[in-house]
Amino acid sequence: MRLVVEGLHTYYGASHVLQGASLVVEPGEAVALLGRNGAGKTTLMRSIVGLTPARSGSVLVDGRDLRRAPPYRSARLGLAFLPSGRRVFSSLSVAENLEVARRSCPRRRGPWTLKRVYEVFPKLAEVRTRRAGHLSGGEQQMLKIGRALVTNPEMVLLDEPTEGLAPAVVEELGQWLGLLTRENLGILLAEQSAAFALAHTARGYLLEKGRMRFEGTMEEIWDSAELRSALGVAEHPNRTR
Amino acid sequence: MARFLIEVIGTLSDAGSLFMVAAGLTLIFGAMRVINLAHGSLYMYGAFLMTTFVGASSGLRFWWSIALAAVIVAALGAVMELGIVRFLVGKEPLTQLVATFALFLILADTALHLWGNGARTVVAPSSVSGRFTIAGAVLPVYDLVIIGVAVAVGIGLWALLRHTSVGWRIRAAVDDPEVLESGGVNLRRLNLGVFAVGALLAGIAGAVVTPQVSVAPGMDESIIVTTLLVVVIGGLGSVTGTALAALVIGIADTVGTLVAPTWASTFMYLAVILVLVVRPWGLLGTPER
Amino acid sequence: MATSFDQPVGAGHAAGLSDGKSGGAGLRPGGGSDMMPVRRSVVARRIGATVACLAVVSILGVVLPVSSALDLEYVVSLALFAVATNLLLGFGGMVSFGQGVFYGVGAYVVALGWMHHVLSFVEAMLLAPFAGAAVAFFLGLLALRTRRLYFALITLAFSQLGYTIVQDQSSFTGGSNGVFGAMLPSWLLDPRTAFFFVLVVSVVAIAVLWKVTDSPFGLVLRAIRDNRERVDAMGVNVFAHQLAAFVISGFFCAVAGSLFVVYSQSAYPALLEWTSSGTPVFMAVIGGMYLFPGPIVGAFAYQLANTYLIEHTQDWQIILGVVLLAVVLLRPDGLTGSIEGLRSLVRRSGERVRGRHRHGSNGTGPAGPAGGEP
Ligand SMILES: Nc1ncnc2c1ncn2[C@@H]1O[C@H](COP(=O)(O)OP(=O)(O)OP(=O)(O)O)[C@@H](O)[C@H]1O
Ligand SMILES: [Mg+2]
Repeated sequence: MRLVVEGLHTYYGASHVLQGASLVVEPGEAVALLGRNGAGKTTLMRSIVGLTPARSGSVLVDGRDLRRAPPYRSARLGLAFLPSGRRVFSSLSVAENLEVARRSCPRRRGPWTLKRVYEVFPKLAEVRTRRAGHLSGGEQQMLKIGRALVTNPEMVLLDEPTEGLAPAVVEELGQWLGLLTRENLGILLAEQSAAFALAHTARGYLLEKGRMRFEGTMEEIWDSAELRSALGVAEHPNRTR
Repeated sequence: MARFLIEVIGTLSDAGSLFMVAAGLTLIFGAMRVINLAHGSLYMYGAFLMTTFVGASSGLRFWWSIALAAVIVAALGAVMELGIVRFLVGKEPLTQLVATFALFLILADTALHLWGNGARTVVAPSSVSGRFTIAGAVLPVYDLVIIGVAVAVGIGLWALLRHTSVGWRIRAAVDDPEVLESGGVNLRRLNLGVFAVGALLAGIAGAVVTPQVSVAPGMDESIIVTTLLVVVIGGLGSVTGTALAALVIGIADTVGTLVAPTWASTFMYLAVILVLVVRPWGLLGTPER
Repeated sequence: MATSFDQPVGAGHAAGLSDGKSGGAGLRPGGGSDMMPVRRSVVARRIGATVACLAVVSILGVVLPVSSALDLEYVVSLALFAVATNLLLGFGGMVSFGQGVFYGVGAYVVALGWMHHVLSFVEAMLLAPFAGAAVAFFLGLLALRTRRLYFALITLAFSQLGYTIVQDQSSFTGGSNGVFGAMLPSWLLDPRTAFFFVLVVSVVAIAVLWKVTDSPFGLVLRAIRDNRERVDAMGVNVFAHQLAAFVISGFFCAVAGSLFVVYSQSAYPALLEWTSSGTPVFMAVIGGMYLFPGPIVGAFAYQLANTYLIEHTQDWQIILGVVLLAVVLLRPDGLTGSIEGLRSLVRRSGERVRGRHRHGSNGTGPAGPAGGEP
């Protein structure tokens, strides 16, 4: 799947949040979407999937414009959105969560079955009858990824997956992302956490006040003091270690 | 003892019909976050349609009429959802209240045109219209019918929500509609279904109670208030809470009538206020809502 | 900011009916800004408009046939009812469906004072608002424990509770028949005098309410409506402010109720019913909740249409329903909001033409119900 976003303008009421944002994610590519608090990363993702429809511009998925399509369309085309935070169906069990997700896109067939998700995430299998609202933060991230995988997506939009996770879990999350890349899934990763994005993506966009301030390799971003300060990071994250 | 039994059966029958109406309202609210003041109108339409279908005859036709009335009310609900209610999703409470009150007005006047001003009655088939004696208590058979239908509706709802994929979807919509929608579910279609099912329940209730009430304009107004009370103290969105609350209201009413007849209806409200003082979000509701 | 208006399932839905603010950025009484001193010419224009309206109403009260003057008298008292309700609705962001209780209390204090020979008319008229305020205080203590939709529904329940009590305690209240009779003092028997009595009381009461909304208290109230959490974090006692607003509203709703007795020489249980509680809400919605005079315009439009329609068609409820739907779905700012929006549009495009720096649309645009955090 190839995702091309062009000149997106999105409003919340009168406030003009996205002011012509554009980006491209090639099939199987992992791309970072960076930006400070309130830059519009979440809004951009919501506009891509149609939860907050953009007022103008285009969202092309393999050439098809989804800007005004309802959110379920993008999912059925293989574009999975994982919002930030604890967004699981909290009163449903883990198994029910996965089942609801799988049946939401009944026509999407592929390598990912419930069985395989449980194999990859044995922890989920252990807690499959537990209410999702009672899971730990890490388990909920797992469930969110599992829920996306059972729809056999071609690309995933991850909104701040590391938010609120313990360092050990963040590391684990990194491994899961590696798995997605090996499976040839495209990834768009919105992050404030610079180190994490650098480790898992090769290319990135820097969003500032709803506009793309910069596009380039992650190294380019970190080598520029100006871009770093725009992100609010002092040092190249790997060199501080 | 006999007296006690009479009161218990009477209370259960009242609570049963109340539960059916309120369950529909709370289901709709849970999934769509829309409060529908015209829900009582759907109940009234169920009752009026029943009077039309049953006509003078009784017997097997009675049961068919209940089903037919309920299905037509469900269709009416679907039309309401498509025309108005879907535009209320995500709007603030005032907008929802005013818009659905407008629907209430429109439906009330339309009913006046269709069925006139007078009161109508429906006679239950002889098999269920008599009385029976148990432990010295003489009870209307039809009370048992209402209780039976209410229990069946309750079990049906439970089975739907717990054991079918559509039910899981509805519960998922209660938890997080956005995630459900961006996961591939056509939320509008789901909402349409939920609203129709809610209307169906109101229609069933309205049709089923006809042998025990006089069917007349104004039914909508009186039932909606009690229904709202039930739904609020049950906790908006909780079907189980609604069942509990219907019992609470039923019991408060019965006790009130026994203890202080002139204050009987006041009792019901006191129960509501008491519950909300202790639990402002209802018995089984969640504070976020 | 109206997230919820342009997306089928907005952020508001995700958080569960969480669009806490019913105001939007720009609610200013009368059309000025909260923060900036209003230009003198604007004040003069407003005073001029008010005086002109009052003059027209007064003249109509003199020249109209008595029956029409009575209609007008009723509308004037309803306008007060609607403005008092809108203190909660538009300015406080509290959707109350229980204002009929205070209205009814006001009416019944006067009517029962007469029926039981315990109060003279003047005493009853003076007591009525305080009775309304006292009832509002206790109901407010309970109702304000809840928020938003629950608040609307519990106030609706109070309305129905009041209705039931008045209906069932017939030995004291007259029950479902209500109270009627010659309860006015001799100096009020002349319909023209009664008209001006109602007019003067209503105008004074509305003026006081205007002062309330225009005071620092009113400012805090609006701030709570727009962002409760922030005001709370600033150390303001949100509950106390809302309760005070509830009591003030109850006070003036009771004044309106007592004026109903002057108009009709009767009181009956339906005054307290939830549908009666809905009336001032609908007036405010139709007229526009976000401008001070909105409910007055709404009351006139609603009641005149109502009187006219009842005479000419059986279907006035259908027409009212359609109008309500149209307003609430298409023009959520009501009549005044639409006019104001048009005016600011004209003003803004005019400024653009002249190439002047445009002020932010803060406040001049139609203030739609806002989405946001709970
Ligand atoms: N529902 C909403 N209503 C109004 N304004 C909003 C809403 N959601 C976001 N905004 C505003 O839009 C802007 C962009 O927000 P967004 O959440 O997209 O930023 P972000 O880059 O994801 O920030 P963060 O890193 O904090 O998640 C912010 O100024 C925010 O205040
Ligand atoms: Mg974000």
